Amino acid sequence: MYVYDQLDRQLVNDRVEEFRDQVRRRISGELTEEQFRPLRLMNGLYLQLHAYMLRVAVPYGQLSAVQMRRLGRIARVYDKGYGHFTTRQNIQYNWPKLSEAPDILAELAEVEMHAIQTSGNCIRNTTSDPFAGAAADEIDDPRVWSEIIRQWSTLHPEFSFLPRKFKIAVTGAPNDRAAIKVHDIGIVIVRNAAGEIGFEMWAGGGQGRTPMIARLIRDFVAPKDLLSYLEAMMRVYNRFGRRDNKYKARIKILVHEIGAERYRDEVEAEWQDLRHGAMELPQAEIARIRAAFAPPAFATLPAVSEKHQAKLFEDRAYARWVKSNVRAHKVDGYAIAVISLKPVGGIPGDATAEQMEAVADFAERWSFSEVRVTHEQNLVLPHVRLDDLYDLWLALGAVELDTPNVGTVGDIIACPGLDYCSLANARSIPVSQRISERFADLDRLHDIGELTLNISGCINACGHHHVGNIGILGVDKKGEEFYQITLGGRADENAAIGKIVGPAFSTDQVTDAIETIVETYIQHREPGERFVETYERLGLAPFKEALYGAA
Amino acid sequence: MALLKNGRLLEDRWVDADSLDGALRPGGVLVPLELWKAERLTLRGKSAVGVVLPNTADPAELAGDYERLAAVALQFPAFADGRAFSQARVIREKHGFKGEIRARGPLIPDQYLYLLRCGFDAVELPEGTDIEVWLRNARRYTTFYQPAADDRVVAWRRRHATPEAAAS
Repeated sequence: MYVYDQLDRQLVNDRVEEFRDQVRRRISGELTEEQFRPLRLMNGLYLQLHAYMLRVAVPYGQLSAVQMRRLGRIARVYDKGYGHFTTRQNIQYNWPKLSEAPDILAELAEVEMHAIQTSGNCIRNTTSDPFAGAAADEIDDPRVWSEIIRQWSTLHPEFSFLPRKFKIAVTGAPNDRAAIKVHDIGIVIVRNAAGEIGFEMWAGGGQGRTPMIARLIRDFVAPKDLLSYLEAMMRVYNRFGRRDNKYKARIKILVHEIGAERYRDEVEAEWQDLRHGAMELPQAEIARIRAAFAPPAFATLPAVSEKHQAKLFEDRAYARWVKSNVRAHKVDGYAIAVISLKPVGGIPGDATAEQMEAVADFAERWSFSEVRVTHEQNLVLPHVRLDDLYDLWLALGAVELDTPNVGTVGDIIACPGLDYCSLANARSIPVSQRISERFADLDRLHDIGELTLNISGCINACGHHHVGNIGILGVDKKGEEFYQITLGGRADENAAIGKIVGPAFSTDQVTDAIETIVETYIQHREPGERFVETYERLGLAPFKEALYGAA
Repeated sequence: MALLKNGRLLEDRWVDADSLDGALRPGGVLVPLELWKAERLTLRGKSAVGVVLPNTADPAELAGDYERLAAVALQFPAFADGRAFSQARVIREKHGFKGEIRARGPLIPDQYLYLLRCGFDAVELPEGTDIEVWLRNARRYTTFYQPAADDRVVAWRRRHATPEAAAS
């Protein structure tokens, strides 16, 4: 893991003092709410429906056990005993007091964390593969490059007042677990014919009210040129991005309106001025950051664990959890364990202070003190010995974190919706709770298999409904909540935007509609075919017919 | 209007002129880009002339002119409209402009460090603003993660400095 040096520590401490000063000026009346707003937003502090909300950055979704324990403490001391992990791999607290926000930032700074640029029209937290450093398909560790981008983008003097917010995602593996094609800039680590590592640079992806898949801007950027190329991409956006309409201000609209070719030409021209200058990344700095992500001291173990195999055979519940929640690790004898934050009838992404502290303990005991947050709003222990997996599972069960539903229709991504958010048109959480209850039967859930279901409470699409295999969008029709369903979305390397299946459903109808869609898939699937593959083979027609009757 | 320059509050002696007559008066004048383009040859002889560049303009429009200009004024129609940050860096870093780059518009003190880092050296201060807050913001940080148009030393150079460079 990256560990702060004196320079990093100084910056977050300076930030805490700056914000303490700003809050003091606000409370004394020296600053009006209007003047204070942009300042608090730059520190992740939003004013929501009922209270302030503080969004804390979890850079590229990586946490140490110490950091996770601190997040639990903050939930207990400053909030109502829980926190909410988000689709941007961050955590949000829904009930902090304004006067205590600087203290929370100080507590975070103590464990090398902050809330810088978790809001505002700037470069947000860089997101990445939650299995980084553990997945077998990885070409290079994306955390190295994500940390380099985190530092470069932090308090960037030129790009802190962009037309709109800006999200960068990095994947180091061909199987994209970071949804890079629906980000403002998506970076794919590749190897060229000479065997050298470099980056594919994509731009213009995004969700919101105008969902778009990113376009490839350059197929190879060398490591030393990463920041100069990013700077050129950002400068062209800062210069030409629309500022007349906030709904048309994201880079996706620019790339769409002027075309990927012209955007590329502008970037390349800008890059010629930047590439050989001060922006060139020194090898020594790349090496320093790479060293921070050196693999932990893995033991030499057999590929097969006798204990694990025996428990798989003896304990059906364990076997079920392993099937849905455990992924292959690159090192023999280890596994990646995904902890579902989607209990039946629960709030997707929520964890209590006790659960966070328990996960911190488990990480220390069984995963080299590492935890990850996924964009699906789950947690990951990336390096667990197969020999320890059963004990981990028992321990997770004791704190109600053993729900065996990762990747299934029960593993719902949902935004906070109208229960918390001032932008929402409809509630998301109750809909997700009812759907997860409908599919609570584990045999049925596992028979349905891999299926992503994402819910957003408004067109801003924080619940990523466009890229769910099944997407649900809450809309307001004359004061009543309705839900529009899309099918066929994907957030992986074959990213696709879902298509609207037909007229929206009322709150009472939406759960039945989802069940009808799932049953239609079961009827039509070929052996071994996942939901999204059946959809891609058959299109909307059979689902439409099942939902609305023959035309 | 007061001008914040080099950490000090000055009386702004420059005036805006939008006609040639006005522009030819003694002392420093700032002229709109269009007037400069139309009357370049006449205005060139004047020692203290600056151009007000709209934030939609490409700094390359003044490519042959920077050596003759004493100042460029860049505009922030709203504090959240950050286009001029990019313009300032391009004018300093690509065109090598050494004169004054001034910021105008409803800026907030929390932007002062960013302005300085992007190459601005003067700010037309909004009415009633407390200069102490501006100055405090300029001194707030000592870690800088990215090279820009200023001479603040970027973090990676401090981390990998040779002993001589670290001492300087």
